[in-house]
Formats: sequence, structure tokens, C-alpha cells
Amino acid sequence: MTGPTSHFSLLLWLRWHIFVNSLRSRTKQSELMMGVLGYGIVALAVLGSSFGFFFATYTVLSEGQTYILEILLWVVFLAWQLIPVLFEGYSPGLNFREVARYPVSFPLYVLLNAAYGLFDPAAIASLFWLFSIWLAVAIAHPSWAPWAAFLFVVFAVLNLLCNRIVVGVFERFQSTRRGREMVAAALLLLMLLPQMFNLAVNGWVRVHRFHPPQWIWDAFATLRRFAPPRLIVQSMESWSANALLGLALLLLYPILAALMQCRQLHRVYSGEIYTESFRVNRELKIRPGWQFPGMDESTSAIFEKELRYLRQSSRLLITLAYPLVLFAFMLLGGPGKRGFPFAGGSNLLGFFAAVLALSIANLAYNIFGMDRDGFGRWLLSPLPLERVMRIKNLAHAALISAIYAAGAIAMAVVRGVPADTLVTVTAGFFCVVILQLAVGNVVSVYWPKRVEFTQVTSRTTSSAAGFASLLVIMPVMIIGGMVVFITSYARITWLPMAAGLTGLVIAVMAYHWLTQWAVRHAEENLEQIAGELGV
Amino acid sequence: MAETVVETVALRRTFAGLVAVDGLNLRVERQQFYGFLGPNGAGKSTTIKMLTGLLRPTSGEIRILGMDLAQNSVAVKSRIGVVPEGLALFERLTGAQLLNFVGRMYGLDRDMAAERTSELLEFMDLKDSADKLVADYSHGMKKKTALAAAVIHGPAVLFLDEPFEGVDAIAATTLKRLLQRFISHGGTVFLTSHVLEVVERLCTHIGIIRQGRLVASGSLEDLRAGVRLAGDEQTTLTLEEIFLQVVGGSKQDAEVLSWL
Repeated sequence: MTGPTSHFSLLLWLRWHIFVNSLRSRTKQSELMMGVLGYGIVALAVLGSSFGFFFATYTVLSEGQTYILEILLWVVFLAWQLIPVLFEGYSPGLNFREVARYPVSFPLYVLLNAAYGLFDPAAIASLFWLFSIWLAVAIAHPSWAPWAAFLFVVFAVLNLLCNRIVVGVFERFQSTRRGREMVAAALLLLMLLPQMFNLAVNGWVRVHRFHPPQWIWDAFATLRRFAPPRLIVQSMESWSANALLGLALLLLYPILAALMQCRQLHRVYSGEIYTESFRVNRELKIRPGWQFPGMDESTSAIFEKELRYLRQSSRLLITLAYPLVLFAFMLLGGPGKRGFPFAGGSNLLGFFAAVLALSIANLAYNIFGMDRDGFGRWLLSPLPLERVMRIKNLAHAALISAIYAAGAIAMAVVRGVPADTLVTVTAGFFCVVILQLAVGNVVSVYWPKRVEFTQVTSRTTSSAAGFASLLVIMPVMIIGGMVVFITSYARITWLPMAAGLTGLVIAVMAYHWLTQWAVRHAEENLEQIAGELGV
Repeated sequence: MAETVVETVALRRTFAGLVAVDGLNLRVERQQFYGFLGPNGAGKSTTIKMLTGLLRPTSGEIRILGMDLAQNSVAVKSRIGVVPEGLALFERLTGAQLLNFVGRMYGLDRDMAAERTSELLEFMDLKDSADKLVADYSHGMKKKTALAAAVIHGPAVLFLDEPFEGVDAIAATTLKRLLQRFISHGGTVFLTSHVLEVVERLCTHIGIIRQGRLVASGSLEDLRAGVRLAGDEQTTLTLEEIFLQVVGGSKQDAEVLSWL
């Protein structure tokens, strides 16, 4: 039998092997190299930033600007709390609640939980930073060193406890499918925000200056006054009654956090289980499915299924909504300070059509990816696979077309677009969309990819899709560029429209040919495709 | 003479040189409850995949309800119901939406699909979970949903790949009730299962496959008559005993796991 000490070494062993296996699971040699290089860079960054913390602390203490020390402590606090949660969202890793299944006592479980948090890379980095700050304090004000060491230990314990509470809440949230999907969608939104910010900074969209109301400033000031970083600096600086009160408060925080943590862990230890909640339908009333005009039952059913699936996928909804949000900003905000290259109505419509036509790749290049095991249902149904693929394409094209139509109408009303431009851009738009669908059908059966809804890092298409999409876009861009050049050079005003309509005809022909090719391949490789899409 | 609804002639399937099914000749007649048994890797799932159009045979013929599957796959698929190995469910639909969808895929009109969905959910005790995503169903609930999806269009033949695997006793009873009702109304069931007791209780006819070849086939009584324990001609064999006699005995494991 083993003692508690071996539990801790086992935990350290586990952390280490999770890290090593994360390198080993990388399939290609180049990706392994990138992984090792990446971790090396992170280690160097932690070391470098520790020097930064040291010198910053030393400088501010030498100049008496102790409020900056407070900011540095805030940085440590936020990094310790947020980084593990963000990485937890990317990869599930070990869910610590699983440890409760093993024969460990509750006090040992609490300690193991804290130790597991202490071995977290973000915690280790934060401790490095905290040590650097303390070292600088000790050199700048040697008399503060012992007291600062005590305060920093209290701060570290508080950080550790807070982090484990936050991760516990996060794990609880992640234990349901809906929770995991919400986290994935939230992280995706967070990833899109910098792009919007970049556009705003470059003046492509006009953002009105935001003036927060006074009560927000007051709330921040109050938070700052009672927050641990302020209390630590205050306690180091003086022994006034105010500072002693602050110290008492500072000591109270870890006690409260420990109580909360124990309560949280006890629930888990006692076997708390989370399941999906849903509305129980006591009065069973099954509504008939959707009927779309001009479509038979099976076509309507597939249309309905595809639209319901899209509605279920927050990730795809965000990706599809992104061009629309961008377009709305541009349309209503107009060009910003530095000038917007697509300021005119016609150019803006062209830009919108291009972004939208590109975004259909997320749907078109892996048409069975979201069906996953459901792919087999298409094979069992009395519908030829070619028909299924065409109906799926039609559903995706209809959705994108509806978004395009909304944008085009808004553009025509707000900015005014000449009729011939509208026809040309629309023909070009559909040309690209149809080509994307055609190539997408081939990619979908040659490189099918099971879509994981709950993982942010899981792509909605295979890596091959990116290259295939380039094969569509590059020729279209080259031909488009040539048409624009010839039109402006030779002043042949009808050329763009003629080129657009010709491109549309070619795209339709290519669609038929490529889809039949894709179907032939799919029928010869049914089991392989089902295997890729299944568990 | 009884109508043959499932027939294979010299059916063969290979995977990169490995023979999974080798010259299989099967014959299942109307209203038979046919249990297809075999040890792991014997070729049961490969066979059922070929019979339902999920996998192309390397050679041989398949006739379902008198139609050549290769030539009339759409017509055959509209008259059979299948619970495949992976269940093939659209897990991002609710149970009600899924059944509605499958019904309409088989050509039922909207109202009839909704009506049958409602009846099936009621029968399968899934009424309270009708608005829940299939992804959130338990394994047993998914099996029941898959069976409901297989019968919603009123097929003539049902193919079930391990329908009782991972299903609790209550769910298994519901499944059995539905299958017996199906047989009594003129349907034919072809199922693979590892649970020999269930097969013994339900099936009228049995086929045993080993290393891709059919090694025994017939009614349970025929098999009992054909396979006898050495030196004891009077004892009635259980299906498990027949199975072990036909496919080979168990290993002596007294010497291993001595610590257990």
C-alpha cells in the first residue's frame, strides 16, 4: 500500500506525463518540433517576464510609485486565474473530480487538489513572477523582506484557492454537453474580438468613443480599495490602524476561499453528478415537420434537418454571422479616420459578397462532418447519395443567399447600387458559391472530418479544405483581376457582367461534373468515410 | 412454400487480403426471427452491412424481398428497416425531430410522420424525453430510438445489429415486445447478438458464422438434433452449448489470474 507522499509524487508524475504525451500525440515530426519550440519559447517568456517583474518592481519602489506594484500584483492574480481556465477550454485534460473515485480520504483529496493546482504551468509561472517581485522588494527595501515574504505567501495561497474554485466551477460547467458548447462558442467569440478591434484601430469601421458612467469608476475604485493587491501594498508601507484593518481583511480572504473550496470539493467527493437539464414534455404533442414551398417531403425534411443542425452549432452561427456584423458596421458606420478602401456602395457590396462567398467553405467543405455517425442514416435511406448531397448543398446555398440578399437590399437602400453592378456582383457571388460547393463535395468525401462541437481547437473542415479552397479562389481572383484591368483599360463596360454570367454557367457545369465524381468516390469508399465520421 | 425474403449466394467480402465473409449462402423466410450468431470477428457485422447496403460485397449476390440489392438498392432500402452497429443517429436533433425526419425520408407525409412519431415515442417510453437532444440520451434510449427509426415506415424486413448490447432489462423488454409484435404482423427479423439467452428465447431460426463461413443454420430444434453432447444423446442442449460445440470450446483459465 502507498502513503500520502506517494499520492503527491503520483500527481506530479501525472502532470509531467500529460505534458509529455501532449508532445507525443502530435502526428507529424514538424508539428512535434513546433511543439517543443513553442514550449521553449513559453519557458523563455516566463523567465524573461520574471526579469521584467523584478526590474519594474525595483524601479517603482526606488521612485516611490508603489501603486504600480499594485498593478503588477493584479497581473499575477489575473494570469493565475485566467490562463488555466482558457487552456482548460482548449483541451479537457484531467478532470480533477475523477480523482474522487480513488480510495483517498477527504482531507487528502483537498490537499491533492491544491497540489494539482500548484503544479499547473500558469501557477508555476505566477510563482516565478511573485518571487521576482519579492526579490526586488527585498533589495530595494531590505527591512520589508520578511514581512513581504509573509504577505506574498498569503497572496499565493489565496491565488491558489481562488484558482481551484474557478477551475472547479468551470469543470462543473464543462461536465454537460451544453456547457462545453457554450464555452467553445464563448472562446470563439473572444477570438473574433481582436479582429474587430483591429478593424476599428485601422479605421475600417467607425466606433463611437465610449464614456463609461461615473458609477462604473466608483465601483472600480471600491474594488481596488478592498482588493488583495492594494491591501498587500498598504500593509507593506505602514502599520497604521487602516493598514492593520486591511491586513485582517487580507487574512480573511484565504480563510473564506478555503471554506468555499472545502464546500465545493465536499460536494464532488460525496458524488455530486451533473446531467443535462431539459424541459420534460408531459403533454406529448408532436408537431409536423417543416414544409418548404415547391419541395417534396424528403427534400423538405433534409432542409429542415440541415437548418436545425446549423441552429444547434453556435460555432458555425458565429462564423456565418461575422460577415454580416462586419458589413453592418461598415454600412452604418462608414469609413473611419484613415479612409476605407471599399467606401463606395458598389465596392462595399463586392467586398461583402466576397467575404460571404468565402465563408460558405465552413459548410461546403465537410458536408457530412456534423452528421458524424448519422452519415450511415443517409446510406440506409431510400435516397441516392447524390440527391442527398445536392439537397444539402441547396440548403447551405439558400442560407448564404438569404444573408447575401439581406445585405444587398440593405446596401441598395442605404448607399444605392446601380442595377448592372448588382447583377455583376450577384453573378460573381453565385459563381464562387457554386464552385465552392462543387469542390466542397469532392473534399467532403475524399477528406471527411468528424466535427467535434465541444472543442474550440477542432476544425469544421479537414486541412485539405484550405488548399482546395485556394484552388477555387486563386483562379477566380486572377480572372476577376484581368476583367477589371481590361474593363478599365479598354473601357468595355459590358465585360464584367458578361464575365460574371459566363462564370456562372461554367460553375454550374463544373458543379454537375464534380458532384458526380464525388458520388462515385463515396459509393466506392462508404465504409472508409463512415469510419472517419464515426467514433 | 414460404417466401424467401433474404437470400445470399456465394457472398464474399475481403479487406486488403483479409477474408471477412467467405462464400456465404443464407436463406431467411418470411416471418422468421433469424438470429445470426458468431464469435467476435466472425463476420456478422460485415454480413449485415452488406445486406443493408452499407458495404459493397467483393463478390456474390444478395436478394432481399426477391430484388437484387445491387440493382434495386433504393427500392430495397424503402422496404427494410435497419438498426446498424453505430446506430447512425443524427444526435443534434431531438428524439421527436429525428423520428419525424426519418419518417419523411421514407416518404411518409408530414402528418403521418408526426402521428407515428408520437405513437412510437409513447410505446418506447421516450415520451418524456421527446424534446431532448439524442446526444443527451442514454445508450438504452438511443437503441430504442434507433429501433423506432427502423420501423417508422412499416418495413417488411428488419435488420438489427446487436440490438440488445448495453441495454437494461426494462429497455430490452420494450424492444422484445416491439419485435414480437412485428413478427406477428407478418414481418421478418434478422438480428445479430452476443446475448445467447435472448436469441434462444426470441429466435425461431439460427445461423452460426465462424471465420466468415456459415457453419450451422436452421431452426433451433434442427440444430439441437444435429449437435449432440458426446455420450449423452437425451439431454436437450442450450443454445450456448450448441454455440460452443460449433465454434469451439473455451480456454482453461485456472492457471491464469491466480491472484484474483
